[in-house]
Amino acid sequence: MSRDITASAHAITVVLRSTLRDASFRRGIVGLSGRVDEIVVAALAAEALSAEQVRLLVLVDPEDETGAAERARAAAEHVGADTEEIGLDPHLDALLRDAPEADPKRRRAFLARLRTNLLHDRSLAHRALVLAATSKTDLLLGRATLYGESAGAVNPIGDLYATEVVALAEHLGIPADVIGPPPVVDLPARSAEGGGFEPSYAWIDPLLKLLVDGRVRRRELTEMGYDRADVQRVASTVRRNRYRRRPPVIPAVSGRPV
Amino acid sequence: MSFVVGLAQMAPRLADVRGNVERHLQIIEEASSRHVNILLFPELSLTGQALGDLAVDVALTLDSALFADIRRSSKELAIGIGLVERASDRVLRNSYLYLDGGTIIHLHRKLHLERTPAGAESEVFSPGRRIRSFDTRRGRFGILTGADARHVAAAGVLALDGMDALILPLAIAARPNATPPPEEEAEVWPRALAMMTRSYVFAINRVGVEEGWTYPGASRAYGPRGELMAEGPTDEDSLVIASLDHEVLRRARIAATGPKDEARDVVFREMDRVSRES
Repeated sequence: MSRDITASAHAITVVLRSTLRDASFRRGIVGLSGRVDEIVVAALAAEALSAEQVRLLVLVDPEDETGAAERARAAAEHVGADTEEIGLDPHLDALLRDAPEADPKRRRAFLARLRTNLLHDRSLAHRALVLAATSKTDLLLGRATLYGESAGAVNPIGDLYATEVVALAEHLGIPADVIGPPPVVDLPARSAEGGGFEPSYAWIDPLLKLLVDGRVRRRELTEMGYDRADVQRVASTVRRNRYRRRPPVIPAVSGRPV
Repeated sequence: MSFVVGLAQMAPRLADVRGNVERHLQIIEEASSRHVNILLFPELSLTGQALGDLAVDVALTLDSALFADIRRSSKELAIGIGLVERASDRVLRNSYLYLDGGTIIHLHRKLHLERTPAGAESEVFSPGRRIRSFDTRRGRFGILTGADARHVAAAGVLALDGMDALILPLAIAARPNATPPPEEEAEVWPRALAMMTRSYVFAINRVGVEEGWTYPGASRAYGPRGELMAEGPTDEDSLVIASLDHEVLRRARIAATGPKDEARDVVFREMDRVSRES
């Protein structure tokens, strides 16, 4: 496992350096909202480019009660890059003033895109390329807000499952209190009896690995002990969210579509 | 008879033929100064891999003036290069040329097309239709490009066709999290081919990054007993120096079983049967 992690980290830093060079950028910029994905991307960027060439923006949900602000600040300190903290209250107030009916889901998506907006603004100010931070798990399950967490020129951890990102964080020497508690995945309940379905990444990653990387058939998965309905739910979530992982669909009408 | 072989581990710039020709000429100059007799570049060394529909823009006819300087340089040393060949108005191929004495001695057109960062090669290239060993001033050689070399029967044909050395121009990307990682497999199968065919194997892998794919290099040269003779570094341009010694080859072939002992009549008859029945 640790050899895979070392080699993956190495491949990621090689791609980061090369992508920035090809796009004529020397600096990268990463947003920190307390998620481990961002912390790992920031640490990898510092390794690939040096901490001096990384800018960090602390952009924490003002209503967060999980200690995200402390984790984000500690992460910035750990990485040792220039950091700016921006309060999101006025922007959020504006949304709620215009749309007081906005439910938590809309609020979350608005915050994600607001962060991207601010990151891209500072990207112009500092001539720094925006680095996205979304794991393969979240990409597959459609948990990354479109043009939110997944927006950026490079997504260094996009081919690592969430649990692998945490393992990489540990490998990079990021302290446990900065990494934070393991999150859960809320998948829409699809069965008639309803009920929440909130598996952990530790549960869902091995299943995704079998399903996506291993191309294991669903029947085999049930023989391995997975619940048929769970497998069905995960597989259909992956399929349904395909559009979020692709560039916008362009109806092809000319001889050479872009 | 012994020769110095150079593996030109380098990063082609995507779709920049002129820039890549310049880079080839620099490496050829360095190889000359290091007394290299046979200099081998990786797969598609003049263009890079992630071409997609750019392939048509970088395609060259075999008499193209664009790589005339490289062809001329082959008066000094033999040179293997990879390019997109414009075989006709409609047909493009992933081709590898063995140049010597200022002319093309052999052309290998990749048969087994694979995936690149820009999609399937089969959407761009037509597959080749020939596998042949060929005579040069320095021995009888065979070429298998990329995935061609993963088909054991293809190497078998070249071995039975009398090759002394197998040239493998490659573009293998690292996938440390894959099962199994292709870069780890590449430490095994070229060596196995050297052992099975009792030939030298020169595996030249590119370096650099294209569309998030990293090509690690680690080019390797094996002797006819499967012994590792030279190995390139990871992720860096390098001129890796190895040798080809016909005396070593002769001794290795006397000492152990190999293509010379093949039950050819049975193999050919059974191949023929498989072909008829499939």
